[in-house]
Order: sequence, then C-alpha cells, then structure tokens
Amino acid sequence: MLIKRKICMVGAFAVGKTSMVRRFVESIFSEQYLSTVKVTIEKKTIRRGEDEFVLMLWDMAGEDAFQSLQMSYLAGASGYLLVADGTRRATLEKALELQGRVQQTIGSTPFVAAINKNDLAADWEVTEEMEQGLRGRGWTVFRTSAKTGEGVEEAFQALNLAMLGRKP
Amino acid sequence: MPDPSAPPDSGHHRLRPPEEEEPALSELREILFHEERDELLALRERVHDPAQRARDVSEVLPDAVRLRGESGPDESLTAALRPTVERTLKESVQRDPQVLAEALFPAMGPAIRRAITEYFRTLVQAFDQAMQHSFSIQGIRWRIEAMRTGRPFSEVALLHSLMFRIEQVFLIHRKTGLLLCQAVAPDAKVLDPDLVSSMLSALQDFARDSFDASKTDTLQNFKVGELDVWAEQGPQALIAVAIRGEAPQNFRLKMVEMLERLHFQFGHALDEFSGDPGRFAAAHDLLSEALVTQRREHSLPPPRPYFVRGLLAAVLLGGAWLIYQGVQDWRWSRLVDRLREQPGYVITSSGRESFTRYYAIRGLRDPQAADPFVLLQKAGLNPALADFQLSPYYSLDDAMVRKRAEAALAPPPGVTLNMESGVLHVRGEAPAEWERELAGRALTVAGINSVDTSGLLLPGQSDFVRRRGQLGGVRILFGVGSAEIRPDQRAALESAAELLKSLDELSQQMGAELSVEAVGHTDRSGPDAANLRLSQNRAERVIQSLARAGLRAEIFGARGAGFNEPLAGESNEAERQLNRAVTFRILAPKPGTQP
Repeated sequence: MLIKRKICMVGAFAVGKTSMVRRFVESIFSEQYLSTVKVTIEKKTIRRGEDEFVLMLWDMAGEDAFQSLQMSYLAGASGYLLVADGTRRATLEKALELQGRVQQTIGSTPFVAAINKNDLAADWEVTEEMEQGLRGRGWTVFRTSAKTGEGVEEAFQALNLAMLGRKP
Repeated sequence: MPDPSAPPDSGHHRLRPPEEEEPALSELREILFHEERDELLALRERVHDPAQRARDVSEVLPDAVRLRGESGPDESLTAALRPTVERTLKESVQRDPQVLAEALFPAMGPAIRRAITEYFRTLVQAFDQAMQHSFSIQGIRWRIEAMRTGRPFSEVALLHSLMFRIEQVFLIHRKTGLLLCQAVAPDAKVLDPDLVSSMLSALQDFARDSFDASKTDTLQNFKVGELDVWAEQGPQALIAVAIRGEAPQNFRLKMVEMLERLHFQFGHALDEFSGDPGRFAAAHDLLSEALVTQRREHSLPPPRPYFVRGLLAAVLLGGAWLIYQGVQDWRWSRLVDRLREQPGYVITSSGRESFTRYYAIRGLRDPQAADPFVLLQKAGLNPALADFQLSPYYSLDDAMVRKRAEAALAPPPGVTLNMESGVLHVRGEAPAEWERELAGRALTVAGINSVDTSGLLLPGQSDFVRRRGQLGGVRILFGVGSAEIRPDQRAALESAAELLKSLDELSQQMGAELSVEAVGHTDRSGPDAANLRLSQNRAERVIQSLARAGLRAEIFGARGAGFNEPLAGESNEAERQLNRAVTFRILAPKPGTQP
C-alpha cells in the first residue's frame, strides 16, 4: 500500500536541515526557493514491509533574527522533524521554542528531534543531560550527521512510525 | 438500562408507589431494595423532567452526530436536518437578511468577483476569436459546424484554432499539498508530480501570505520553464494543469467544472484523506478528459503577415514612386519652360516616354543656342534620362543672329557687333583689311540685311582724334610785336611737341602722312602787312623750335593769319594777349572720312 505524507523540517537557521535530507531525497527545485518562498520541497520514499511511504518534505527556511518561520506551511503536516545543531546550544533552545509554536499552530502532531552535526562531536555544546532532559519530556531524540548520514534514515523511520495510523 | 440483578417478574409493578402495597411487603421492599428504589425514583424523575432530558441529550448530541457522520456516507441525518436547516435559514432571512448577508459576505464577495472576472475574460476572448474568424472562409465553415452541432461558435473556433496541449493534470489535496491523482499526456515530459504538487501548494501558501490575500484568493498560474501551470482551487482539493502553448481562458471554466465534479464524487474521501491516494484512482479518467491537445494543422492558417506587410510595403513604395515621379515630371517641365524662354529653341512637344524613365524633348534648336545639357545639369536632372530630338534651324532672333555673325565674322578685339531689326551695327577699331571684307561676308550671314560701319574706326584712329582735339586747344603766346619764344611758353611748346609726336606716329600706323599747319596770329594793333609778316614769323619760329625738339620739319607748314583770324576779342589786354599766338591745325589725315 502506498501512503503519502507531508512532513515539515523545522529548526533554527543553518542547523543542517537541507544538508540532512539532500543526500537521501529527490528534489527538482533550486535552493533559491528557500530564500524566496522560504520553503523547498523534497521527496523521500521509505519502505516498511509491504508498505511504501512517500514523504513530502517541506524543508522550511530556518528561523533566525532576520526571518521567522512561515507557519502557514505547517498546515496539513502529518509530522515534523525538529532539527538542532549539536555544536550550538542556542539552536536547541530555538528548537524547544519552535516545537511549542508548531504545536500551537497545528496541534499535537508526531515529531522527532534530530540533533545534527554529530560528526563534530568534539565541539558539541549540547550535553548528554540536555538530551536526557528532552527524552524526559517524552521526545524521541536522534543524533544525526548530515555529513556521514548517521542517524538520518533512523530519524525518518522513527517519525514515520510515530505517524502511523494517524490522520495527517 | 435494565438491572441484571432485578427479579424476572419485577416489571413495572416494582415502581408502584409503596403506599398502595401492604405494609409488611412494603417494609420488606424497603429493606431489600432501599437503595435501588431511590435510584429508580431518581431515574424516573429524570426521564419525566424535560429540562433534565434536554440537558442529557445536549451532552451526547455532538458526539452522536459525529458518530453518525463517521459511520460512512449516510444521507439520512442530512435528510433529517435539511428541512429544519432550510426553514431556519429562510426564517433568518425573513427576520433580518443582514445577519446572513454579513456572515456570507466574505465568501460571496470573492466568489462574485471571480465569477464576473472569469465571465468577462471569457467573453473578451470569445469576442476576439469571433472577430478573427467571422470573416474568413474557415470562419464560415466553423459557423456552419456550430449551427450543425448546436455548440456556440466561440467554442467551435476555440477547438479549431488554438494550439496548446495539456500535458499533465494534477489533483492535489488542499490541506496537505499531497498528490492524489494525476493524468499525463502520452510522451509528455513529466515533472515529478509529488514534488510539483507540494511545491504548488507551498506557492499557494506563499502567495497568500506574501500578498495578504484572503483565503479564497489563489495563485492561478505561473510558469515552469516553457510550461504554464494553471491552478484552480476548491474547498478540499485543487486541480493544476501543465500547459504547453497558449490555452484559451475558458479552459479554466473546464477546470472549475472538473473540480466541482471531483468534489462531488470524492468529497468524503477528500475529507477523510489520511495519506492513501488509492481511493482517488477513480479520478484518473476524469482528469484524463482535461488532457486536450490542439494540433497546429487544425488551426486556422495564421494571418498572412508577409502578404499584408508586402501589400502595405507595395502601396507605400508605389505611393513614394508616384510622388517621386511627380516631382521629376515637374522638374522636367520646368526645364522645358526654360528652354522655351531660351533664344534659339523651338520646343514642339515634350513628355515622358511611355513605361520608361526617359524624357523626350522635341523641336528645333539653333546651333548657336545654349547647350541643352548644360541647362539640364543646372536643373539637377540626370542627362542620361534626357532624349533630345532637336533639329537644327536658323533663328532670326537678334541675339541668335548676332551670335551667328560673331561666329562667321570673327571680329577683332575691341569691335562690338549689335543686331537691330536685321541691321548689324559694328563699332570699335578694326584693321582696314577686316573692314574691307566685312560688308561682303556679313551679308552671307542669315538674318543680316545690312551693315552699319559708321562706328568702325581704324586702329589708332580714336587716339588720333582725341589728341588732335587736345592739340586744338594748345596756344603758344607771344609778346607785343615779338616773334621770340617766351620762356613761360616752353611748357606749352613741350606739350604741343608731345602731342604732335604721337599724332605723327598714329598717322604712320594708319598708313597716312601727317600734315600740320602752324598758324600765326597777331592783335589788332599795327598795320596789316606788318601783322601778316609778324604772324608768319611767329609760326615759323614755333616750327623751328619743334623741329629742334625732334619733330620732322617736313610735316609742318607755316601760315601767317595776321589779325584776320582773331582768337579772341580785343576789349582788354588779356584778350589781346590771346590773339598774339600760334595755333595748330591738322590738315591730314582726316579720320572719319575715308583715307
């Protein structure tokens, strides 16, 4: 059975959202869309047993001091990937804040947190305790590396699993 | 809900009020069913209390309605509610139309606006096409087809004339932007439909957010490479088509119709969509209907711009040529006018030679008349285009006769010829031999009837006459009774000598011998004989002096006139002095008369 889902990639600016999905996805749109329309669309296909899941990834422009998340793009999302940069603690705080806002906008929706740039583990500002703290809130947290691909597939699989049986 | 612990025979008798029963039994009941009884009483009260019942129903009503809706497509609830809802709406409108109007306003405004815009857009295009095709053979053929098939002419024209192809049709879930179904034209280059759908949906959101448009306003079209993407949005789904070429605006109406049909057919599935596009497979056939292809060969042959442009250019060129020719003809006729004014020309006819650029001028021309080509060049006309057909003739015009005479007689420099009514007037100095032949030759020139040579002089003659006049005024004065040259008369004597010298030379030039008479005069005083002698002496003395100055003595003759030829009166000494003098008279040659 073929199932299609809308997924949003949410996170602070330059946490590696786009890099994270680029090597796993198909895309026909130039990255210019990110700067102008503030979203670009990628497509990722996941197999699980007999089922094929087509995840339409709405890679939303990261939020920073100069631009804010275009909340209207969240509408209809079945789930979202909350991305932070392990080397910048502030991005984790931003992720927390964004999660709150996303939940406010589209209600309680499955999500998975990905703390990216695991390949730079030595420079990490995000500590084990902080991660545990997130898990304590009931979050599913993955350490990922857009560079090596570590944890990325797993994060998407986990998100897909979380969305199973739920309406978008 | 029945109590399973209740005895099977209890029935409704259980609920009889206790006072109607026997006291012992009633007591037993009281002991056995004390709690249940109270409960039952409370329930009875609740069932009989309409206010309480309303409260109870109100608690479960929303859930009940929802449950009914979820149990599948069932029209019974809708059917049950419809009359009430309709009545309610009707009554609301009757009571205060403003309430409903205000509620509907945000929805109605854009809908009406869009409908009107769409209508006008379609109308304009239909009109355009109708105008384009009405007057052609093709147009008439289409009109017949429209009458035959009962379709509007604009639709027939549309079907025939426009060149476009719908390559891809997408049905997209509005809320998620996910592709539900797509139809693709055979061998069309396909864009990844999932990505296009999501991006389209993102662009819709973006456009709405960026331009602060209302929820109902949507991005209707945009370009992807050489494809036009048109989108039409419904409440739950949108249709997008990828078009190659120029689709007509009323294709959009087809999209709207299709969208309405899809909503009707799949409304429930759209509402419940949970990521499984399988339920929309049936939409494929409907979407495929939109895969219209308009091939070029069916289209009206495009208006022949080259023909029209060529025609226009020809008309302009023709006009320019006519204007150019007009100007040229005018310039030629000006030239002909000028030739007519010229002496020595008789123009009998002129004009452009048929179908050529050449201009013919026919007539007569005196060989001495002005060169026509010089006049042509002065007028700025191309000599190569001139066709002069001029026969030679002798003009009797004075100017022409004079020119002819000049050519025939070759007058020496200083001689001028003038013609006046057939008479050639010759003036100036000419050698004697030329003058001798003049009369004979002049009369052979056409147009000369006689020759007037009275103004003709020999070379030097006019000088001779002038100096002779000067000499006539010269007086050598003498003292009383004296024939001695006074010193104060030397200047007069010198000027006389100079004049006589040149007169001698001029005479020799003319081939004549100069003969001069020096005449002596006296005043009245003294006897005549003495005066005659004295005057003779005076003349001779002057001649002697002149001879000494280098003049030939043989040209002179001396004569004493005494007081017989007085030069002045005798009333005073000054006058008497004038009479005591020697004057000169040229005896020969005598110009003006034949030598």
